[in-house]
Amino acid sequence: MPVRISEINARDLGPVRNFRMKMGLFNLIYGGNELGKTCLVEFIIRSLFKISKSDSNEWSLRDLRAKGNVTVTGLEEGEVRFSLSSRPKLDELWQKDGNIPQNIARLLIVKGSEPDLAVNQPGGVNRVVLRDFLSIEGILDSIENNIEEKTLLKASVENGVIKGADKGKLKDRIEKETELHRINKLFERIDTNYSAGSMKSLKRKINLLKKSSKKLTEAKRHSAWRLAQEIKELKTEMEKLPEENLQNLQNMLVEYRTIKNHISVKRTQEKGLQSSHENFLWLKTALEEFNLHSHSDKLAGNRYLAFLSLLFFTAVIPAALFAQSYVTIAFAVVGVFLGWSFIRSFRVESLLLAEHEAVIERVSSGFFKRFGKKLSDEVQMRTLLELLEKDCYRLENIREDLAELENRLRMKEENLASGFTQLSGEAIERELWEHKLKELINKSKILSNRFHEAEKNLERFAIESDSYLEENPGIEYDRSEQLKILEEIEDFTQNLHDLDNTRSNLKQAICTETGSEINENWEILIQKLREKRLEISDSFKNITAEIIARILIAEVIREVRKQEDERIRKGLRTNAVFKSLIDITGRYTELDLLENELVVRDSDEEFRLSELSTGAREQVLLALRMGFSEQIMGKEPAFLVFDDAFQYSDWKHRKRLVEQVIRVARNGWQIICLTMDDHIRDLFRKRASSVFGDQFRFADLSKN
Amino acid sequence: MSVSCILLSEISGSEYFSRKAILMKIVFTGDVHLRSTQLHPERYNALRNILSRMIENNINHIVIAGDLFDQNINDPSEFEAICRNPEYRDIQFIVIPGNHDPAINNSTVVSDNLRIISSPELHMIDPDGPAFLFLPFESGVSMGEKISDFEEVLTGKKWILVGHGDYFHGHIEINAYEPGVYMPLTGTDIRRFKPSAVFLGHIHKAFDDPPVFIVGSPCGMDITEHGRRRFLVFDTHYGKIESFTVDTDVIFFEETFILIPSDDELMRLNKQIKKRIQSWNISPEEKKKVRIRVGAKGFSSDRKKVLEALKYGFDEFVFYKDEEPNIKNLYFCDDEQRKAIAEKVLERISSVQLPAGSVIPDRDMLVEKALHVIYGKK
Repeated sequence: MPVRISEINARDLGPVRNFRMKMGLFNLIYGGNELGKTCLVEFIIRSLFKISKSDSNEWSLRDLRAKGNVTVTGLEEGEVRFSLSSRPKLDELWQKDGNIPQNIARLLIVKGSEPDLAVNQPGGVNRVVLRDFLSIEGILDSIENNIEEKTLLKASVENGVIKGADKGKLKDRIEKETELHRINKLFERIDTNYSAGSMKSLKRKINLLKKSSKKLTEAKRHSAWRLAQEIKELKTEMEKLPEENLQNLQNMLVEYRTIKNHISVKRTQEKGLQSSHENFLWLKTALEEFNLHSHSDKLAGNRYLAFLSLLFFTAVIPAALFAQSYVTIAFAVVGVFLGWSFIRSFRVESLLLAEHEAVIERVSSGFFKRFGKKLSDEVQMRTLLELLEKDCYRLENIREDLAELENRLRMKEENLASGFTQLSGEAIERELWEHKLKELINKSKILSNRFHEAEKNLERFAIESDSYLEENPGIEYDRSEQLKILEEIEDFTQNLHDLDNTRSNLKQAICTETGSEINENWEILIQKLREKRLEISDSFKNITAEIIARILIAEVIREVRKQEDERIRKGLRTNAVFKSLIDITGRYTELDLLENELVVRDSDEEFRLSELSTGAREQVLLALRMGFSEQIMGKEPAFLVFDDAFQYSDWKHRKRLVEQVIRVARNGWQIICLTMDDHIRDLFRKRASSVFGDQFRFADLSKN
Repeated sequence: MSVSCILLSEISGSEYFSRKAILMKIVFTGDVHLRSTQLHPERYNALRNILSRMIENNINHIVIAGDLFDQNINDPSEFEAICRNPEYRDIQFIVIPGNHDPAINNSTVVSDNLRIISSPELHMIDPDGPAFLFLPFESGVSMGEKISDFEEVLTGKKWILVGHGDYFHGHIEINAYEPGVYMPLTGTDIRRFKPSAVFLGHIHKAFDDPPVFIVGSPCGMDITEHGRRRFLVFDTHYGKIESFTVDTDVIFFEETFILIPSDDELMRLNKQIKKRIQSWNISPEEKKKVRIRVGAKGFSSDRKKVLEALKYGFDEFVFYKDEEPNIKNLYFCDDEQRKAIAEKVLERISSVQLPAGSVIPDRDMLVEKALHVIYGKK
């Protein structure tokens, strides 16, 4: 829809008290000097366009104080009223679309008979102005502006790698990539750790192992029970063989053996002393005999008898001589008796002596036989006898000892027999005592060992007696097997615990990522995570696409900017400019840029714009202005304001200019002409009113 | 008709099954989502098509991996009638409940040649073939948990898993028909329990990631389920899996075109339309089955003509639910200068090396983004 000024409403505008004009397609405002025509143009400029200080200087604009507004239609915003103070201005609204150059006001408005597009420039136009109007710099700026980030203007895509500063969208992309990577890692963890299959499998294995372990524990309890039973039996057995009794028996047997040994020794001693005793008895007798027979030569009595007999016989003589007979007889009798006695004794003594000698011989022989040495005398015999007597005493003692020992031995035997009978339950032959005792001790030891072993084993089971199991579970307890099972249970439990922890950590990580509560179920959490991954991956794709697209656009913009002069030249040769040029000048057919200045060409010659006459230059500039305006605004025409624009054209060209302006209006451009020139007023009035009918509007400021 | 052929022996060793085994083939499908023939006759027809093909090929076992019914329907008579149809009497139907029909069992749906396995079961279809572990859908558990109950029996054996649920491996798309997580099977489960093959129902888009085969629905449920549908045939002897196309009543397609304003934009659009239709690879007889959803986005100098071109380009086909081509995101623009820039940018887009990775935008997305920047549309 064309952008048009539908109404101008101004009050207290310098000499203009109250101006109100409903605008048509072609509008002519006529006013002589000091009637406020320039004020009205400046009111339009200041109401519609943003005017900088430099613009103000270039256009020699004054400060205006006025009321009223300029109403514009055809904008996206609908009908908009612009006043001196209102914002945004029309050019600001247009620039939002990006196609409109900033100085569009200079193109649309020709103020105060100054057709120049650039002030103080030879020819009234220069390269900068041409660039503003002809190049797509504005579009490029606009697109560049759409790229939004300077970082992207400097970024690049090289071999599939986006390179640029870590800012803005590039930073966002990296963040999204990191986030996506994090979520993908979570999905990898879900793939690895979510399935409860491993956990269930572990649990089942643990249960099976626990059952096996329980069975083994029952076997252990049963083994303990069996051990306890064995211990009880062993204890009973052991009680039958009290150690004390065995010890006593052993002691007794030792004593018995000792006594027996003593007896044996004593017997030997006795036996040894028995000959001494015999010798003693013999020697004693022999000594008596010896004494008896060794002193026969000493039978002095006999010799005394002889002597006495002799004496008496001797005395008989005297007695016979001197004494009485009886005395002599007595003496003789006595002498005879004594002599008889003597003889008898002598005879006896002789017999005895022989006997003595025989005895002595026999004793000596016996002595020699017994003692191996020659009997010398009685002393020898006595000495020996004394010695033998000692032996006899000793023998007596031994015999006494033997008697006592044998007594003791008997008692021991009785005790031992009784002890063995008690311990073995049967009478044991004396000869078998040693063996039996050994057997019993051995048995006791075995029992004791077995008992201790059983006790140790039972203790190792560490089972309270009330946990003993009488019932046989059917398997044997195997400690190493149970330990292996328990180790496996521990390992599996640890694995399960680890898996559970890993799962819990994973769940926590998903909750953190999705902002969910930990008590949410897995399915919901995973779905949320999937949705988040989808969202992030979409977002990542989106931002990657945005970045790459923007980088490529920036590259193209850079490239296009390099082709600026060529574009300007192309712009000067566009249809709109060409048609405008030929229509308005009637001569020139081509425009070009030579260094910094514009040149026009006809069929033969080329002229710098600065070399043209004022009128010709004015026409060229007007042609440029109209061509540019058409080109810029495209198929949506706007308005053109001409303030004494054709003042310096000769009369011949004025008609052509008027026709050109009418042609522009016919193409949909709204024309607002302000003039103080009666000729121009009449030319426009005549042509425009006939062409545009009621769309031609005329105002005379002198009548305001 | 076969569009793909995967030999399990390549996956799990050449001595896959005993060579002495009797030749037996089993058809696998799932997610038929039967409702009434009045509402969705195409779903029944897809099933009938599979059964007829089985008869033709002398195959008499079909396994339906869940969601035979769209809901726990009260009246299964239409399906029972199919089972009892004399033509299909020799076919043995083995069905596991899915998340849509978890309550079906041998009491609710009855036919002599139908067996509904409603609790996990190890089953020998072919006495000389591998064991089949059927896992009906169960809420709140993973497949791994259920498989682990059979671990001791399965260890060291050749066995096939038939289940209904999600598959967590790589970046499987979210099931558009029903978002959420259902009795998932994970890559870890596969590695742990080592099935020779897995036939999964639930995900409607067919997908092969040996040893996992997502059978896919035999008939598109709606416009989001594009293209031809398939069923799988498993040869228990050779362990070979073949994919066959189901001759469905409807084939859904969705096509979106990105436009850039140019003098020949309509010509380019027409070319693209023809190219897309060719890519469907459909026979002239199939054309009437196609249901399409079409859209255009980007920028055009004449939106009306684009709309007309889309209608004309697809006039041989039926528009899904009589929807018009969607040009909501197609903007008007006839700026010659921007067009020139756009063309340069598009040239660059067509040649730029995109970043590596699984999550990368396609070139159409770049074009769309670039046009929005160039033409200043947010």
